[in-house]
Parts: sequence; C-alpha cells; structure tokens
Amino acid sequence: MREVFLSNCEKNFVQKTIAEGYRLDGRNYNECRKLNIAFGSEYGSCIVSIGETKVLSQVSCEVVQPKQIRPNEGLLNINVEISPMAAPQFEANRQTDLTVYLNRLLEKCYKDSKCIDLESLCIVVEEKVWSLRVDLKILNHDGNLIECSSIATLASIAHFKRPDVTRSGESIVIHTLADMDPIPTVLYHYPVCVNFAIFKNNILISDPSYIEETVCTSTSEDGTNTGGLLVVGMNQYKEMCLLDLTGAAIYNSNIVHRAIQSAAERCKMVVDLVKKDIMTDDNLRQKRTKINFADIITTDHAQSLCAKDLCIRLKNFTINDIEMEEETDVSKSIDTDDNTALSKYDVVPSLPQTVELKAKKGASTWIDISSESDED
Amino acid sequence: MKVSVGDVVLPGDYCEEISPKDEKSRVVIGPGLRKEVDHVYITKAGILKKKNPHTYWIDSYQKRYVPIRGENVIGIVTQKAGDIFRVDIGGSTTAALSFLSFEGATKKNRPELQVGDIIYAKLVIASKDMEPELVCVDSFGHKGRLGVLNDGFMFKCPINLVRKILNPKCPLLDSLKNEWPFEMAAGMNGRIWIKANSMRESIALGNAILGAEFLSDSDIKKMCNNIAAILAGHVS
Repeated sequence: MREVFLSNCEKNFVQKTIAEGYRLDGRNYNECRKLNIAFGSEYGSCIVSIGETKVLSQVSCEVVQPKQIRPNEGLLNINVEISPMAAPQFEANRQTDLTVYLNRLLEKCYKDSKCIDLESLCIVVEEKVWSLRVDLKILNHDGNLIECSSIATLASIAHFKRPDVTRSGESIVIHTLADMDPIPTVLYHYPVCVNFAIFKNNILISDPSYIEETVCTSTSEDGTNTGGLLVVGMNQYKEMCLLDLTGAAIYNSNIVHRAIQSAAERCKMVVDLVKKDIMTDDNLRQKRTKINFADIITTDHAQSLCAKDLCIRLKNFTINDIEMEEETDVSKSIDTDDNTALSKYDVVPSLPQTVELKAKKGASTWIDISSESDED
Repeated sequence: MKVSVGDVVLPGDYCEEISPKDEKSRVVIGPGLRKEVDHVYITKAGILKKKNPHTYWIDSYQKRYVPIRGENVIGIVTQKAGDIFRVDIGGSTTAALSFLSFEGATKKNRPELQVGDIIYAKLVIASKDMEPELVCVDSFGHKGRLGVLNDGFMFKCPINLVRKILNPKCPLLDSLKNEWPFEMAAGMNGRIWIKANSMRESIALGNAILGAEFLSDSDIKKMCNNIAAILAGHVS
C-alpha cells in the first residue's frame, strides 16, 4: 500500500475547525451521514453505504466437516477485501494492515459475541455442518469503513437464507430454493460496531469522514498524538460486545461513557433499520418482485449529481436553497401560512456550545400592521 | 458512430470534422482524441469541444491527474532526498523539485521547506517515461505566484471542476470576491488551496467551489449570494 500523505495545512485546519465546534462537512459532532441499505437479487447480498463509503457484502454457504473440538457447530468466516477501487492507494490482492484489522474486528464482533446460533447450522454431528462465509468488498472508502462493513455484515447475515436439508436414514438431501423454502439464519442478537474519532482527548465525533479519520490518528506538529479511533460494538439490548481503541491512550473515562451512550442510540437505530429493511425486502420477494442492485441507481441519482453531499459544507447550506429562492418570490406576494421552515431569526441550539441563526428561505419582508391601525 | 462538435461522445466514436482543410493548415487535437489512419477517434467519454480555428479536445469528468508540461499544480512535499524534494502531485509517481529552482536559491542558501508543506509549482518536464519535474520560478528567475502555501486548507476535487472555475467566463470567483476576502490557488491536478480570515469563511469558500460543479452560471451567482447570507447570519 502506498502511503497517503497528509499535508500539514490539512491537519491543522481540521484540528482547528473541530476545536472551534464545526466539522468540515457541516455536521454536528454526533451527527452521522446518511445510511442506506440495498439488497441484491440473491439472499445474503447487500450494499451498505454511509455517505460516500460503500461496502458490498455477500454471504455464501457450503457443507463441510466440522472442527474436532466443536463437532456440532457450524462455521462462520469473514473475509474483507480492499481493492484499488476503494481508494487509489490500495493494491489489488494484497493484504494490508487495514484489511487484517477490519477482519479481526468483525470476527470479534460477530463470531466471538456468539450472535449466530452455530449449532443450528449442524446437519450431522462430526460429519457435516454448514459453513457460512461472509465476503466483504469495499467499493468506496470515504472514512468509517468499520461501521459500514459491520452493518453490511449484519445485514447480509440477517438477510441470508440457507437451503433446507432433509435426512432420510443415511442420505441427506439439500433442496433447491424452488423445492423448499430456505431457512433464515438464527440470530440471538444484532451487534453493530460504531466508530468514533477522538480529538484533543475530549472531543468525540461520530461517523468520521476519511480526512477526519486520518487527522485524528496522525501526530500533530509538536510530535504528540492526542486523538484516536474508538470502536464500540454493541447490540440492540445495549450489551457491549467489543471495545477497541487505536491511537492515543484515553486518560479520561468520561469520554468512553459518552461514546457508549451514543453508540447505544446509534445501534438501536441501525438495528431497527436493518430489521425494517429486511422485512420490506421479504414482503417484496413474496410478491415475486424482482429486487437487485439496479434499484440503487435511480434517475434522481443519475441526473441531479449536484444533490450529493459536499465534503466541505456550511452547516445551513443545502443545494436545494437555490431552487427554493425562486419560489419564495411568489410566496412573498401571496403570503402563505403553510411555510414550516424556521423564521429568519429563530435561534436554534445546534451544538451544546453554540447557538446559531437559521436563515429562512421564505422570510417575508412584509411588515404586519395590527388591525387597530386600520380602524384609525 | 459519427459525431460532431458539441455532442456527448463515447470512446470509439469518430469525428470527420477534424481534418485539415488544406495542405498548410494544422489541426491541434487535445486530450481524449487520437489520430488513426482514417479518422480521429475518441478515447474518452465527455463532450467534444472546439476552439477556433482548429483545436479540438474532449471535456470529460476525471479525478486522476496525468501530468502535462506547463501546468500549475499543487503538491505536498513528501521527502527530502539529496538536493531535490519529492513532491506528491497526485500523478502515478511523485515529481521532483530541485532545491535550486526557487527564487534566489543557491547551494548555500537553501529554501526552507518541511515535509508536509504544500507548494504551488509549474511542471517543466512531464513525459510518460520520466519523472515529472517542478519549478517554483519562471524563466526570469522570479517566483511570481509560485512557491510555498502557508496555512489555509487544501482539498481535492475533480479536474474538470478546476477547469471550470479557472475559465474566465465562470462567474464564481467574480461573485465570491465581492462577498468576503480570501486567497485561493487552483492546481490543475485537482487540488485547490484556500485561505480566508476565519475557519468558517474558509469552509464557506470550499462549499461554494464544490457546490458550483454542476450549476449553471446564473445558479452559481444565486448560490454565492445564498452562502454569503448564511455566513453573515451567523456572524451578526
């Protein structure tokens, strides 16, 4: 892997903006980018995107001999692959530290937390068990690979269905999908890894972008490192499965508590979304609707390229404002009431330490004259 | 497929318009075009553009930089090796920048550059078989606008966006320069360096530049006003 060079000015700028209370892309400290899950035509394939980070996940199964020490348990393998498609600094078919790290982290989160009922994958004790293999392919790397790949793993495992098996005496029949309904994987709980970037030892940022991730783990100008990445693995019952820290040591337990609290909310949200998406997907499949990745590419997507998230953005900026301004000219004269947007001088607390004005697009310039003056 | 100027073209298309009218005239073909025996073929997806009298090129969306001689680029110093700096300009290999190619630099008087600094430099050698070479002086030995860029922020963007904002007809910089003071350097390698008085103004500037990518000229003006309004709303 070629090293990515980060210039001093980028480092300083990101550090300073975060210390001042902004993020480059206009999000709040605890705000995440848009999460989207799309399922493929096969069971157990999905693409998860967080902002511009995209991960493709596919679960496959085969019948193998179980391990000697666990003769009645199936197997689970997780395999992460990062190709030059993700970012130009990666090389094809080469393991990097990042791949190994991601692989280990996901194994810890999904294998060691025993969220999958491996015993249900057993067909014949000591002879035949199902082996599940999760293949993750990073399609685009824009920070927060950990969270994205963990959601992809979870969604694809939860979505996966293995063929049904019947035993008659010695022989075993594996039915095709058309023959018999496939069986979903049994999940005891749904763990998700949530990633936080730590700046200056006390600022916690959820869903860091690529530049934030690189800045917080790199050393600052005076040779010290005061940031790092904290990964919290948690399931929907707020049970912790994993805690991992890279970068500087934390000497403030408060930050871990804050991270865990924030992770609990995020996990709940993610798990609910995964469950809901799988449910709708299941319903559609029962109605014989064709589902595939082509659904991701909507006309909206292909045409209005400008609607994508900018990586440098003011907090209140939305690209739609430009079109909306034209409409306001009309509404000014008609003076409609149904404008739910914030008024120009409404003060909205957006961050714990800052208060800011939200500019309203349809602010009326007309001054209300009370009825009394009319009577005069 | 046969195409003409102004069309959206795909690799493999050919254009019959591109041919010398008589013996004396010359035709210049730019990026994305290749001359074969019979026709000029298109090798990139984009829009076929023409500049009179006989210059043709493809305007395409691209993020990866291929060094071209004479272009001004922004690079990051990655290494000091002997009497050259190695500079990452986003190309396939790093570029070389000699200690001596700065204004007033001698063997004794070396420029002060640290690893991680960013520089604005001109490419003097860019051939496909050799390492590209940069200079920070013009042919008279003056530095002009080239040199080290201090503070500020650098971000990456598609190369066609850089071409768009550098186009003299683009209203973006004209509308922005009236709103708040800033400095900017746009490298043809898809990197833009910005510096303003405050962090927020820098972010607003970056926002305006990136937001301008797919907007028409009139929309760009509107967007600049909009951003200035947001900026002013917070400061007051």
